[in-house]
Amino acid sequence: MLDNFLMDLKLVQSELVLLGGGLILLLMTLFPKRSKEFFPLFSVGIILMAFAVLFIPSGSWNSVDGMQGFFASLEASPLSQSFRGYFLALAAFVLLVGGSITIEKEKTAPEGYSLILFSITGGALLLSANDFFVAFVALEMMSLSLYAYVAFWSDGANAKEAAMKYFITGAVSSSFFLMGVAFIYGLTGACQFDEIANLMKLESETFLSSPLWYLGIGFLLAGLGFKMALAPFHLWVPDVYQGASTQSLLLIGVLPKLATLGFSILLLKGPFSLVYEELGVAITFLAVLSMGWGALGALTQRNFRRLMGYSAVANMGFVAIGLLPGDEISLASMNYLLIYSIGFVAVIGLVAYLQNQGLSLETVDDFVYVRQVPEAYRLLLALLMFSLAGVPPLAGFFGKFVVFKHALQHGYTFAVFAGIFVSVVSAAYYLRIIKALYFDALPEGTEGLVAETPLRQSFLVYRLSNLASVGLAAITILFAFVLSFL
Amino acid sequence: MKLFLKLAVFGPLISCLFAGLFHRQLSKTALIRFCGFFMGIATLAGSTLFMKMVKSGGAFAVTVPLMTWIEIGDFSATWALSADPLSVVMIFLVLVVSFLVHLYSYEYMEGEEDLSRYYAYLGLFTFAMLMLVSAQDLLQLFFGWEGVGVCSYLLIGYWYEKESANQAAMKAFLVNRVGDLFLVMGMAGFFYLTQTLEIGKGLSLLQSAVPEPFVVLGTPVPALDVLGILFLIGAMGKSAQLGLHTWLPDAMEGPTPVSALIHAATMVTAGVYLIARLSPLYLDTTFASTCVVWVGALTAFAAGTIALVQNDIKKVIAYSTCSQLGYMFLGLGVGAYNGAVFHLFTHGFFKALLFLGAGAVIHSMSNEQDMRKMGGLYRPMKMTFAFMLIGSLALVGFPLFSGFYSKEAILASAFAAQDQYGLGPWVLSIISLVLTAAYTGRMLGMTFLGRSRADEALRARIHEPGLMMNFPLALLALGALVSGMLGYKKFLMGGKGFWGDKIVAPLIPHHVGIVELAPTVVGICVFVLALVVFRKWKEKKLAKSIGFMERFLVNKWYFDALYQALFVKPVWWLGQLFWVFGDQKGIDAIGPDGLTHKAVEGSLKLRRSYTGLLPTYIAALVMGVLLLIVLILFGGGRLG
Amino acid sequence: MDITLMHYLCLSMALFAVGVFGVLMARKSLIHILMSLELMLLGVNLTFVSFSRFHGEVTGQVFSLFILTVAAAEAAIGLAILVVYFREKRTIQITDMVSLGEKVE
Repeated sequence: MLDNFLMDLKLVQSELVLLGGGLILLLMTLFPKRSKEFFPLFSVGIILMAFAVLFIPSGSWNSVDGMQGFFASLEASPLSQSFRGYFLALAAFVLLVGGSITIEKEKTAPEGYSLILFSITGGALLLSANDFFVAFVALEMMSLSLYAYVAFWSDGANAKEAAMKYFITGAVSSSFFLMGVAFIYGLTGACQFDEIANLMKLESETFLSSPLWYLGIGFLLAGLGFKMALAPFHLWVPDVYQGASTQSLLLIGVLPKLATLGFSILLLKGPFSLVYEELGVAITFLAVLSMGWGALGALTQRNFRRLMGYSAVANMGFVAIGLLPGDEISLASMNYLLIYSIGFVAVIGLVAYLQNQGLSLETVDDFVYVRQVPEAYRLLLALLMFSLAGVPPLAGFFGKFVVFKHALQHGYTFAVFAGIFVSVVSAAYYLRIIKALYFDALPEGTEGLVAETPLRQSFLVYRLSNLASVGLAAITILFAFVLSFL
Repeated sequence: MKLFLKLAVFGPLISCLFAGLFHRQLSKTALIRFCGFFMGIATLAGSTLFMKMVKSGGAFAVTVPLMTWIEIGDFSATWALSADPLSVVMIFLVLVVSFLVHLYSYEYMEGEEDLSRYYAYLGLFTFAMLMLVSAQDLLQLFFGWEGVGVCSYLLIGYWYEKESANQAAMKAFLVNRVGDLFLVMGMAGFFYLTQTLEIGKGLSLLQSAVPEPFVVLGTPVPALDVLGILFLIGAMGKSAQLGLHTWLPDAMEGPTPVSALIHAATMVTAGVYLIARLSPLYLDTTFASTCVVWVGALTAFAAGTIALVQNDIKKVIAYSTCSQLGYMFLGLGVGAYNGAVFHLFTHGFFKALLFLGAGAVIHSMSNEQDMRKMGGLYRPMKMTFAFMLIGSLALVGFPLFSGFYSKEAILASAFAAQDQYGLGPWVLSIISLVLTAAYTGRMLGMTFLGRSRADEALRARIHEPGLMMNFPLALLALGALVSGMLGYKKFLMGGKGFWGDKIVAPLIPHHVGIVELAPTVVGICVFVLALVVFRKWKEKKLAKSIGFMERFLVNKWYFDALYQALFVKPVWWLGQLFWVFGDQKGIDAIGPDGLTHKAVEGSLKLRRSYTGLLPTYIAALVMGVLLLIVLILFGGGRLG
Repeated sequence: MDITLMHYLCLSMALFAVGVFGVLMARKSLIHILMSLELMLLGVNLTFVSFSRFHGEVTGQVFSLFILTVAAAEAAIGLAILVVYFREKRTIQITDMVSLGEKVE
């Protein structure tokens, strides 16, 4: 019994590390005298440790393949392990990049970091869930910590409103998710993925004709779509992006999407693999609506944060195209999301860095001021924008290419044409930023507006994060091929 | 010798890079010193090569392989500099004229703001021209061919603020494109027949086995004739032969030294060079050679008549260039390839001299180019007059001047070839010779003799050019004087003498008889007559003397009007049609512009409905769920 | 009249729908929305329990316990956010919560 339990613990060792780290941080509130850069570095360290632990199961690497534990409610397959790897690596980057912005403000407290670590724990757990119990609890763990974090720490005027909106829409969507789970439970009488899969195999005909099935999968997709910011469950996105602090924005913009997408892929390939094929129209609908709505919303948007929000929705539409059912397991969507997320983190990180330098980059037009800082940043930003717009040979292009290829191979011509059309529209708003960066004239009397006293350069995290965002930018730009062959 | 060859070719490139890159750091004087230095070195190297070539009697060849340019399967194009008699002659001519133009420009272009741009273009042009003439490979030749075209475009449009200069540059570029297209087709045909672009190898292959005829529109045409015609049209574009000549007079919008270098001495002779280089190919053709003969003869005649009525001093010389190029083509056509190249060589000197002399006149007349406002310049500008006179006599073919020998050779060959082509080309060329004498005399008379027609203020400013302009003039005058006398024995040597097997060099018939002498005597008489008659300028006198022909000639045989009506107008209308109905009313309304408009509208509409009110978000969520359920219910499968 | 699964499901659906409409229609206080959320979760719980009873096994009931627990945490966090929001804005009126949103003329 104990042996079994210990064996099972191997499945969650990285979650345990994360949880432990979060708890230690909570304890540290008792000893408030810490240098400011300790907490972000500590958290990054914890995540990296979790990352390392993920790949060092006590036995050999293969022993974890298809391994189940805790009464088969958790499973570690190579696919889920790799998703968790991406998730933790991105989380470390996000925290490193976000760290610098946080330490600048006086309101740094370890609680914030423990919340982040709990949220990451939830995300990692979600990716190894083999049971709706675990999935639900992990999803809530990830989301609730994020709601709290958005409200907990704010650097703008409207963070509380953003948190409120995020929370309420999130709560509604998670009750939709639960409703979906309830219907599926009602249909199959099981919450465990393997059992559901077996029952599906046995009685797929009866299941597919039952109204519970439509209701269940519809509600389920809605709940997951909310986390992935797919239209029409995305209306919170621009508001929250605009109001949340940079750190929260980075977390919201990347982690839940990655975790939920990974979970969706595992779900659709696993227990729902038999009915996955039936979802083509629904997913096409989500994809096309997201792309169109996101692109249209961003097209005339002046506020940069909102623009990134709409752009996120449009990009998730492309991810959804990659999620369209095909013959074999396609990672086109995950590939796209990774490329997009890295670009997103790099853009937000660079912009936050420039804002800390004293530039006001609220609106798109404000990007003319970027020419007041070293040229390299402007070039990086422009390249990132080109990458987001999907201009070859940058990474964004390969992401789109792989997604379209996947869809075309399986005959989703309409989605591909819509995607190409939206790519053209979306190029407009990315190029507008480049126009501001390179071609618009500086307003008169604003030369030399950069604050004379930039950030205290002594912060280690600060330098690291700057490095990290530049590095991420480089990754998006240079390692396009590496990512596109995943 | 390899070093000399490299120096000769890359000197101008260094000069170009120098002028282009360091123009901020250097004063104008330093600039001309450096550029002149590099050009001087290159010219010395080129002259050494030339001397060596002449001394060895053509028995010397150097090849400097630089790199393999393209290598695909069996095909390879190498980049190599090679010196054989033909290319060394060209290298020498190009470098000497280019060097002198560099020097001359310093004074002529004084007061120009961005002189470095000018020198950079000049250097680049010289480099491209040298690449062209030192090529053993058609691809490299084409590279140089296009390079000189681009530089010509840039230099014609050097004063880019001037609308007319821009248009002239554009015209030169476009007309040259037509020729270039045919050159590329010729190259393609050459490659198709021989599987190589190497000139020597390909030509010997073509000679050893007569290729299958091409079938054009159902009738078989000898392959060599097709190639010959294609290369001929290519050459016609660059060498401004009748039909594709319209750009050359307009190109006079560029600075005068540029006209001397590019549009008289070097670039426009590239066509002649090309055909001479491919002379073994033409030797085996009848139709293509006949075409070359008639193109040359007609060009010589037509350009001569037009030159007769031009009032712009530069345009007179430009048409004269056209006409002389026609002579060279005539020479090529009748098989006197060595004669044509010899004429190219002497023409380079005396035409550059005439242009630079005209430049001196224009310079001292404060950019006045109209001969009707000149006159009587021999008094204040004795030196220039003397130089111009030497140039004119060489052009007219006065005995002992350089033009005499080269033109003589072509005329004699044309006469000798009457069995093959009849006497037509010869008669036309005799008429052209008389025309040449007439317009040259008219130009000299109107410019230098008689009374000054310039206004008082201008007259006071007329001056003799300075040393920097006189020195090149003097050197060129020397060339115009002696190049014929010294060169004709070598150049016109028949068989495998000087030219080796690089070009076909027949023995030029040379026996002074009434046939050769009469035209020369008539020419000289006409020259003197024109000199005297046009001493005084009266507006209507010319019109009366040639009657209805005058309008025809003033309008340049209506070539421009014809092209305007045939090509420019229809294309313009077509463009208008597509613009108005295709673009504005069609694509713009429903295409990108219209869609953009719609998209922006849609975006604003979408955003307006987005007030930030929380319940609407939930409403969207609920609607989304319902829609999804419906879609899963009815969709089941794939869309699209 | 026998009480069948259908009746339970109808009741739970009604509860859920009331919750959804509560969220949709709320215009005054954010508290209304929080309460409606609880109603939605109650509907879900009832569904789970009735299905559990229908299938004759216990998983659904355990799930509803989980949901209750998580809902408590959710409510706690929701109220906490509400409090900080109120501290900042001095209002919890839903129609006032529009500082974020599109501002298009």
